[in-house]
Amino acid sequence: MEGRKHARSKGHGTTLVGTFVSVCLLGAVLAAAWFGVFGLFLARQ
Amino acid sequence: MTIHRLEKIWIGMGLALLVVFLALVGVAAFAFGMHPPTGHALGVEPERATEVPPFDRPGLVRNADGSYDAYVVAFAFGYSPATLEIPAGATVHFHVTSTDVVHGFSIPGTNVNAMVVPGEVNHVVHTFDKPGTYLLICNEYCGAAHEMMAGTVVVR
Amino acid sequence: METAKTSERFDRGDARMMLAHVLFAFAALLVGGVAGLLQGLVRGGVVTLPAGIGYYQLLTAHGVLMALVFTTFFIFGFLFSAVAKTAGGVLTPAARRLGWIGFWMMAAGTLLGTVMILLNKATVLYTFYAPMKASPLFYAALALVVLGSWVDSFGVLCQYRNWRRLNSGSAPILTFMAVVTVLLWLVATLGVVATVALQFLPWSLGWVERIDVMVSRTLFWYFGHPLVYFWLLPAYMCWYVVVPKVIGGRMFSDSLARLAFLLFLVFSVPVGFHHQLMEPGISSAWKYVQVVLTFMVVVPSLMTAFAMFATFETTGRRLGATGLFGWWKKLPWRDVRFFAPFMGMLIFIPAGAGGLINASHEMNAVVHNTLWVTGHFHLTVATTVALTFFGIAYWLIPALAGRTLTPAMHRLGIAQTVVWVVGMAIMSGAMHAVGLLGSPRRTAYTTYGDSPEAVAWMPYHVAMAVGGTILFVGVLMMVWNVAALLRSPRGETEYPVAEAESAEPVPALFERWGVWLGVLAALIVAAYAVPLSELLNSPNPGSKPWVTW
Repeated sequence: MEGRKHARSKGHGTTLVGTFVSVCLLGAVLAAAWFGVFGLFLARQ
Repeated sequence: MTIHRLEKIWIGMGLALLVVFLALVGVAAFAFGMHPPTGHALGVEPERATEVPPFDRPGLVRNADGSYDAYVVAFAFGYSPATLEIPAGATVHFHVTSTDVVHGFSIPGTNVNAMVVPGEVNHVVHTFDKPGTYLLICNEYCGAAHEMMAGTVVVR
Repeated sequence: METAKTSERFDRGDARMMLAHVLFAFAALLVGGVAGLLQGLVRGGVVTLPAGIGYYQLLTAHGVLMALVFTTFFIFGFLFSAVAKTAGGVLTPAARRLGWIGFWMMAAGTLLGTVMILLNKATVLYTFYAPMKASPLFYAALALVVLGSWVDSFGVLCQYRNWRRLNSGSAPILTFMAVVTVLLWLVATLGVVATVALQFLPWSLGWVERIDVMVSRTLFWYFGHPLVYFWLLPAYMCWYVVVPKVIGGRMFSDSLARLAFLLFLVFSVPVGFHHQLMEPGISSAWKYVQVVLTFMVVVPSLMTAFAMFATFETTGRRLGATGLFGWWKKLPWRDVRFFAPFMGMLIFIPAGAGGLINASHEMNAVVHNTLWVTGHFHLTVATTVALTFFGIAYWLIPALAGRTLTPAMHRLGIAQTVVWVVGMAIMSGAMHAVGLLGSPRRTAYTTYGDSPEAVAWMPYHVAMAVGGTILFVGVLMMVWNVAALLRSPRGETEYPVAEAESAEPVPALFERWGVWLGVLAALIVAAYAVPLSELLNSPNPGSKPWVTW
């Protein structure tokens, strides 16, 4: 079991692609918000 | 402990994003001088700040290179001086202290936003490119009339 | 791996102590909610306060009751339930006694503190910054609450130690997580206890003439940041262990969940400077060091986000879902035990985004002391954590009280959750926007002499009043729901504890507390020793007391 990289080790053949896309969207929100305020900071300098 | 391949990729991407953020603010601060405000001790009892230089004469001092030093004293519930008049395009180094409690020193619309701590002198710098009348407000709760504590910065 | 005894009822004596904690929390929520409503209405220009109560008194009460009392009482009620349920089934007599002593100490402190606030002798806000000086009784009240929480903490640890003595192998995960939470709390509160005991109390009693303001702020914020993780970790306990069971699934990874908690233990504390970024006396370099450490504490939350989605996807697909996102439809949206915590998770996305922005060194200047910050923590503690705690209450209260969680209760709970999210979206959304425009937090109604900028803020303040009023309706609904839970038909309610997806062994290192506390201590020293000693040696004679209200 150790070292198996895929969810196949759980025996269901399930995928986590939906999870991966979801967290990437989350990351995009984080990045967008951060760069937005960073831009505001630079504009006000 | 097994870590799913996609989770490793996600954490790697997350760390990379954090590194980008840290690098941007780090470079902006340490290479381009855009530091957060910081300062040093006043050296005398805070309630005696206006008895000794430079806060015995609050106000603007023009420097040889055209920049200004602004010495401002915050107190419950106002600023001394209450109004600062600055020529447009001037770079102003604010030095602020308090004779009583902790106050704020913020000019909305700019990045001037510093804590004013009794017994300490905080330092923040700004170049006023745009003319206009700016509100200077205390944004750190300081007592019953905190919401009335304000000043003005006039840039012509 | 010990199976959680989820089908057995709580011991009635244990349950009474836990229920006392939980119900006191909701009482505090109600009183704190009244204060919050009035604040919103005042600032929105809707009402003026009568003589006898000031805006800043209300604000102090709101902060103390919501951020310190509601949270701490609920958390310890929940933690005791978690260790009782999974580490033995019943509390040891010592653990239960400590729980009661802790409860009464904290309750006494809360009452004393509230009285002092209402008497206008402690209008210093929940951060009580020096050199504003409240009555010594206020600081004594705070000390009583914190020391009571230590007694509660020892109770939780007592239960764990008893389990440890009798069992080998890794502690059950809910117990493990409770121990991490309590250890974090004990280490974190050292800062606030130090400043209150060594600085504020002697100074407010007149035994010492001056107080070192920067040192007191630094000790407070050494505590103030891990405080928010003390709030978050119990919510994460629900997300990691309870929610998977509720949705009919299993924990995504037992070991990674424990690792996330250990990372919180280690990285939550040495980061207080990100609350002090605009202050003098601390160099930009040391601020940046703690900013870097702050960003490290984002990592376990990124792990948590992955684990949550993974649990949903795995469970949904096991239930037959297909396609990239079909598993969303398989989630039990009508089950309040899922829906409320899920809304908390969803809101954590903008909440976390805001947190990253706040901690970004010089970028903090854009938001410091503006209503943006208020908007931020109303998303984090007042939505993510609060909705998760509410979501726990729907099954915990009946489980403790020997009652049932009825279908009608689910509907009421979902309605309450929706009202909360709508109210918060309006209020916090307006706060974030007007904060970027510079409107200050912790400030009563004003237009700064009809200054055009301040007048432009007013529509946002009105929106905040609208949102705040809706939230107050949400508070009333929740209090009603709690009362209804206590009166629902007698019976048994499940205490949901999920099993792990795979029977992977947990690394033994995870429970070697000495190692983790050692790493934490090293990080605290690395992050604080030099800048704190610089503050201690600063040629600032200190401040005399001020009563500016």
